[in-house]
Amino acid sequence: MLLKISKLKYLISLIFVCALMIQNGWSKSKNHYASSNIESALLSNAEAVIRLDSTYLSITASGYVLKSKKVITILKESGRRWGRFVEMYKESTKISDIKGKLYNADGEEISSLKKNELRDVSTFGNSFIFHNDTRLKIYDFDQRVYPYTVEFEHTIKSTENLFLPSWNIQSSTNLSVEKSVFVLSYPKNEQVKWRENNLPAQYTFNQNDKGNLQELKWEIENVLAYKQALLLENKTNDVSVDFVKESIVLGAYSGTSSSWNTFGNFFYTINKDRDELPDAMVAKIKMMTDTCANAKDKVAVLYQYLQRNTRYVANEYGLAGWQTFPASEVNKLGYGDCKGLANYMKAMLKAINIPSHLVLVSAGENSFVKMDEQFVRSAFNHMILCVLLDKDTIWVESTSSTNPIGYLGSFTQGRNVLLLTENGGIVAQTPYYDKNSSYLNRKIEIWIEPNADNHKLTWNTVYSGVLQDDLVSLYKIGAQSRIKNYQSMIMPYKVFNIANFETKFNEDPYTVPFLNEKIEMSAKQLTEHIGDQLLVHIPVKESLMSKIYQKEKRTVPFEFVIDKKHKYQFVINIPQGYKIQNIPTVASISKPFGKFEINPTEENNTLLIDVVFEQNAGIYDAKHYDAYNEMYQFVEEHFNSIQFMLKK
Amino acid sequence: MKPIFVLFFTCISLVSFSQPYKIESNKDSLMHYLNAKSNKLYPDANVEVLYEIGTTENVPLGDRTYNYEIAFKVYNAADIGDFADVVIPNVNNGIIKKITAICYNLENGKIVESKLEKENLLNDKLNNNVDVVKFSIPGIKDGSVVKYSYTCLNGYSKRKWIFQRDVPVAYSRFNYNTSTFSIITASAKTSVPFKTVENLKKLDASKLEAVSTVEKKTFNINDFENIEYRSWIRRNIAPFESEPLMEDENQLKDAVTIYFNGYSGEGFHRPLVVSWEEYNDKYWVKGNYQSVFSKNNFLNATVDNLVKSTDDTLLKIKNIFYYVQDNYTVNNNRIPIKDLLNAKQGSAGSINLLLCAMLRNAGFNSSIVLIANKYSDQLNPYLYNIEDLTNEVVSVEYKGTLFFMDASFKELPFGYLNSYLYNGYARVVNEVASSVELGTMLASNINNVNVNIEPIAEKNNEYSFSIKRSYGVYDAIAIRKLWKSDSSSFENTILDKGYDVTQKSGYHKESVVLENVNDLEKPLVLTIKGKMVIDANVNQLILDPFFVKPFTINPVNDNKDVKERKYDIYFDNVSRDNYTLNMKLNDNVTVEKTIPNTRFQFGKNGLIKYNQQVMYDQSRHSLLCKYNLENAAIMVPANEYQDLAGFYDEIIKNINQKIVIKNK
Repeated sequence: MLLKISKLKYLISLIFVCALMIQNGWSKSKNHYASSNIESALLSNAEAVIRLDSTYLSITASGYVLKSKKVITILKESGRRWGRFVEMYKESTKISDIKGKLYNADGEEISSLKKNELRDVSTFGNSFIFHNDTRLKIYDFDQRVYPYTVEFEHTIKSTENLFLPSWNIQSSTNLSVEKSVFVLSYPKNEQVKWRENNLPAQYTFNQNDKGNLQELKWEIENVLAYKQALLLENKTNDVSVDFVKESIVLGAYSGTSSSWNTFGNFFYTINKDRDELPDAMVAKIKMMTDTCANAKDKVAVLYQYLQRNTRYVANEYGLAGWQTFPASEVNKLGYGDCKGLANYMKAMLKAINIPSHLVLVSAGENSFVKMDEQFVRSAFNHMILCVLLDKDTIWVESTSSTNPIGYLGSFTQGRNVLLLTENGGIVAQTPYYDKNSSYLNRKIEIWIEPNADNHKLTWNTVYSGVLQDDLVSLYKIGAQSRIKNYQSMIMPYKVFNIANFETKFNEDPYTVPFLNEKIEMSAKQLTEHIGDQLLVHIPVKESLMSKIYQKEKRTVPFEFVIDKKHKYQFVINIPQGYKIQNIPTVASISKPFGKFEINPTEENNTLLIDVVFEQNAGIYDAKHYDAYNEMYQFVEEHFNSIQFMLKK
Repeated sequence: MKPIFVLFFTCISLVSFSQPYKIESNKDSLMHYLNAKSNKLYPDANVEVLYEIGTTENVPLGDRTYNYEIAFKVYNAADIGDFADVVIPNVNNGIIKKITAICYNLENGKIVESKLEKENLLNDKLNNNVDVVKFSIPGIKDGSVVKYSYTCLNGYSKRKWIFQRDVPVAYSRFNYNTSTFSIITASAKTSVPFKTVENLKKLDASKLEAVSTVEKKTFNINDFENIEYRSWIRRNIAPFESEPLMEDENQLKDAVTIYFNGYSGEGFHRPLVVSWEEYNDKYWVKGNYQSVFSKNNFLNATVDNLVKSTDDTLLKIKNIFYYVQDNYTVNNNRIPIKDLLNAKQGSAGSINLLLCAMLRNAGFNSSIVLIANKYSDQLNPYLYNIEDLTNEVVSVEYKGTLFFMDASFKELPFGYLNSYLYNGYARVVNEVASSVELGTMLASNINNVNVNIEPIAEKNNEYSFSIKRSYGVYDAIAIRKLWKSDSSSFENTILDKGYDVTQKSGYHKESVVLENVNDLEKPLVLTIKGKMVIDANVNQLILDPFFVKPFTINPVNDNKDVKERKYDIYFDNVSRDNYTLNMKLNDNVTVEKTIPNTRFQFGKNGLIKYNQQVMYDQSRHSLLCKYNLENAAIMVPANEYQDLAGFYDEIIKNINQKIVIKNK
C-alpha cells in the first residue's frame, strides 16, 4: 500500500512535472516574441529590432516569386515606421497572401490584419514623377503602446526579372537584426550572379543541390544598430546582397546581362527606332542649322532649341520607365521625361546626320547606387545623351533649361555610364569638374565710416562649375522673393540693406559655366567707439567645413563627394586719419583632405585679407577624424569674424 | 431622371457667366495677351491668371456639378509649378468630364494652337476613395497663353473659393447655385469689401474690384425647384506673399466659404443646427457623447486611486490630468471612453473625453471645449459652423477660474493649450452650454537665463562659465522632443555647435545637463558649463556679455529691406525673456568701457518693452548685465510696421554692444 501510495505520489509528481514542462514549453513558444527576450546588445541605438526576416526568392525563366515573413519589435515612437506593412508593386508584379499579426510587449497576440483595412495607394504626389505604375500596399495596426511586435507575411509574383529583389539586411542604422535568412532558388540551367555589400563577418552561406534547382542560403544573426555618423561614406550604410540573372526580361523584351555590352544592347533594342521626326520638323531643323559653321555649332543651336521649347515631365508608367516616348510625340507635346528629351535631341541631331547615343547613368550627388563595372546590374535612374563627333565628345543634359551645351553638372559628373549603341553597351566616364573648374572667388570690399555706423560694401562673387548649378537656376528663373531670401541667407550682417545687385552668366557653349554676382549694400553694427578708438567687427558667415562632432570614437570613414576651392579677399578701406592698431594674424593649416590659409596685409591704409580654402574629394579613414576636427576648429577660430581696432 | 428635372437643369445651364478676358472668341484680345512680356504691376510674376471661374451647382435630387475654367499667361515657363501639370481630384465616385485644354503660342507672328488630346489624359487611383485625372499642358513655353476647363459630376463639390494665388489674378469668380430650399450662409473674407448688387446682370456689368450678388430665379411655384444664384467676383488681386509673424495664410487670403445649414421651405424648417445650445444638447450631452456626462461608475476605481492620496483639490485635478496624459497614447481611432480606459490608446478627442469624464467622476466641474484652431476658420457665435470644429479639449473650474488642458498633447503642462488652439470664440459643452473666449493672452512663455562667470587662475582672459536657461512652456516643447528622440545627439549638438554666443570660437563647452525633462510641472532647465577665452585685441579684451539673445535678426522682417507690410503683425503668445549675467573679473584687469543702460517701449501702452542694464561693481570687481524683453500677445497693425521694426533694430543694436576690459 505504501508502495502504491509512493507510486501514486510519484505518478502525480511526474504528471505535475510534465504539465509544468508542457506549460513552460507552450509558454515559451507563445511568448517567443516577448520583447524581454531581445538581447540587450540589440537594443542599444535601436528604435526597432528585426526579430526574424525570412525571404525565399524563387527565380523562374521569365520572372520570380518571393515569399517573405518579417517579425519586428518596435521599441519606441520614433520606430513606428518599421511596424507598418509597406510593399511596393507595379503592373508586372502581384502581391498576395498578405497576413499580419500584432503582439504586445509580452508576445501575446492582440490583433490580426484585416484585409478590408489594407490600403492600396498610388505613389503619385510623393516624388517628382507625374505618372507611373508604382503602387503601395499599406497596413498599419496603429499601435502606440511600446514595445510591440508585428509579424507580416506576403508573396510577390513578378513576370519580369530585370530587377530582382535584394537581400537588405539592415535598411537603417537604428535597426538591429536578431536573425535574417535569405534563400535563393533558381533552375540549374540559368545563370545567377550576386554581389555581397558590406556583410558583417558573422554571416553564413550554403549552397545546396535540389534536383533541377540550385539553392543558395545566407543567414545572419545579431547585427547591431549603430549611431549614424556625419559625412559617412554612402555605401557604408548598404548592408545587402544584390542579385542579377543572366537572361533578363522586361515587358516583351528579353536579353542578357552577361556583360555591359549585352546589357547595353538590351536597352538599345528597347529604345531603337523611336527617333523619327515629322518632315516639317526635319525641315525646320535643317533651316535652323544650315548656317552653322560646324557640327559643334549645330549641336549647340539644337540644344538651345530644346531648352526653349520643351520642359521636363516624368511619365514612367510601365515600360515607359525604360523606353523613351517617340521623338515625334515629344515634338508634338513639348514635354517629356529625361529619356524622352534625350531621345528628342538625338532625333534632331539625326535629322542633320549627327550621330549620338542615349546614355544610362546613375545620377545624383550622393547616390550610393552607382554603376559597378564588375557587376552587370541596372543601377540607373537617368538618361543623358552623348554626341560623338570626329574629335569631340559632347555630353548633353537634356532636362536642364540653364546649362550651356556640353556641361553636365554635379548631377551626373565623374561617373561610369553606359552608352547604348548599335554595337551594344559601352562603358564610359563622364567629365569631372574638379576644384580648378568648381570654385568660388569672392571679393568683399568695405568702406569703414567712422562717424555713422552705416558702411558701404560690395560683394563680387564668381561661382564656377558645380558651385553655380543651383544658383544659376535661381537667378535665371527664380522669383524675386526667392532671390531675396537667398541673399538674406548668405549675408552675415545683422542689419543691412541691399541697394543693387546684378548677375552675369557665362553661357558660352562647351565651357564650364560660371556666374558673376555683384551686390552693393550698406550694413550697420560693424563699428563701435571705445574712447578714442574704433572697434571694427566684421562678421563672416561661410560654412567651409561641415561639423562632424561626435562624443564617441569615430570608427567609420568620412567622405567628401566633391572637390571645391573657395577664395575670399576682404578689402577694408580705413577712414582718413585712422591707423590700424592690430592686424589679424597670418595662419594656415593643411591636411590630406583640405587646406586653409588666411593672410592679412596692410597696404596704403587698406587692410587686405586673403583667405583660401580647398577641399579634396575622397574617402578618408576614421583615423583622420581628429585631424578633421582640428582643422574644423582652426577654421572656425580664424574665420568667424574680422576684428581690429582703429585709432586716430 | 424625370422630364421636369431635365427642364430644370436646362434652365440652370442657360444662365451663363460673362467674364471680360476673351481668349477663344476674340483673337485680338488673345494676340494682346500673347504679345505681353510681363505683368505691368508685378513684372517678376512667372504666370498671370487672366481669369478663373468656379461654379458649383448643388440642388436637391439633381446632379451636383462643379465647373472649372482658367486661363493664364506664361511669362517664365521654367518656373510655373503646378500650372503646367494639372491634377483634378475625383471623390465619391464622381465623373470628371468635358476636359479641354489648349495652349496658344505665337510663332512667326501667327497664333499656333496645341490641344490636349484624349490619349494624353492620365488616370490614377490615388487610394480607395480618391481618383485623379492628370494631364500636362502641351506646348507650354515662355509667352504661351493657356486655357483649360473641366466638369466634375456628382463628386467633388466646391464650397470654399480662394480668390488669391501666389501669382497675380486679373479676374476670379465663384458661383454657387442651389435650391432656395437650402439654408445657405456665405462667409467672405477679402481685403476689399464686396459691394452687393441686385442681380447677375448688374454683377456682370460691374467693374468693381469686389462685387457680389444673390439672385433668386423662379422656375416653378414650388420653392424646391427655384434657384438662388450667388456670385462673387474679385478683380486685380495681388499675389499672396508671406510675411514674418503673420496669421496663418488661410486666414489672410481673399476667400469665400459656403456653409450649408439644412433645408427650409414653405411650411417646414429643418436646419442642421438650430443653435449652439441645441448642438450642445442634441449632439453632445444627450447625444453621441452623453456617456461623458453620465455617472460612469466604471471609472470609480481608477479615479479614486488618483485622488485619494491628497486633500489638495488642485493636486487631485492635476493627478487626473497627468495620469491621462502619461498613460494614453494618440492614434487615429475614436473609441468610446469605456473601451479607451483599458485600451490606453485612442484619438486625441477620445482621450480628452475620457479626461473630462474622469474629472467629472471625481466631482469637478469639467466640460468639453470645442475649438476651431488657427488653421481653419474661427468659430462664429451666430453661424453654427460646426464644420470648422477641429479640436476637443477640456476645461475644469478651480476656485472660480477655468483651466484648459489637452491630455493628448504630451509636452505641455496642466493649464496650457498649444498656442494654435487659442483662437477666440470656443464652445463649452456641458449641461448648461456656454462659450468662452480663448485669447492668445492665455498662452504665456517665460524664458529665464542666468549666466555666471568666474576667472580661472592667472590668465587674464580665461574664465569658467555656467549658463542656466529655464525654458518657457512653449519653447520647451521642441527641446523636450529633441531630447526624448535622441538625448545623445542633443548633447553632442550643444557641445559641438554651442549655444548662442558660445557658438563662437573661444568657448569650450564641457557639460550639458537638461533637468525636468519628464516633469512638466517644473520648468525645463538646460545648464551648460565650460571655459571661455575672451577675444583679445592688443591690450584689451572684448566681451559680449549677452550670451543668449532673444533674436539675432529682426523678427518682423527677417532683416530684409522691407519698407512696408501688408499684413498685421501677430504675436500668438505672451513672451518674456529675462537675462542676468554675473561676472567676477580677474584681479589683473580693469573695465575700460561698459554699455549704457537703456529702456524703451513700443507703442503708448508699452505692450512691448525692453530694459537693459549693465553695472560694474567696483567693490566686488564684478559685472552685472541684465535685460528684460516683454512682448504681449497682440496684433500690431501693418501700418505700425516701421516703428516696430525700428524698435527691434534698436534692441539688436543694444544687445550686441561689447564691454571692453583692459589689462592692468
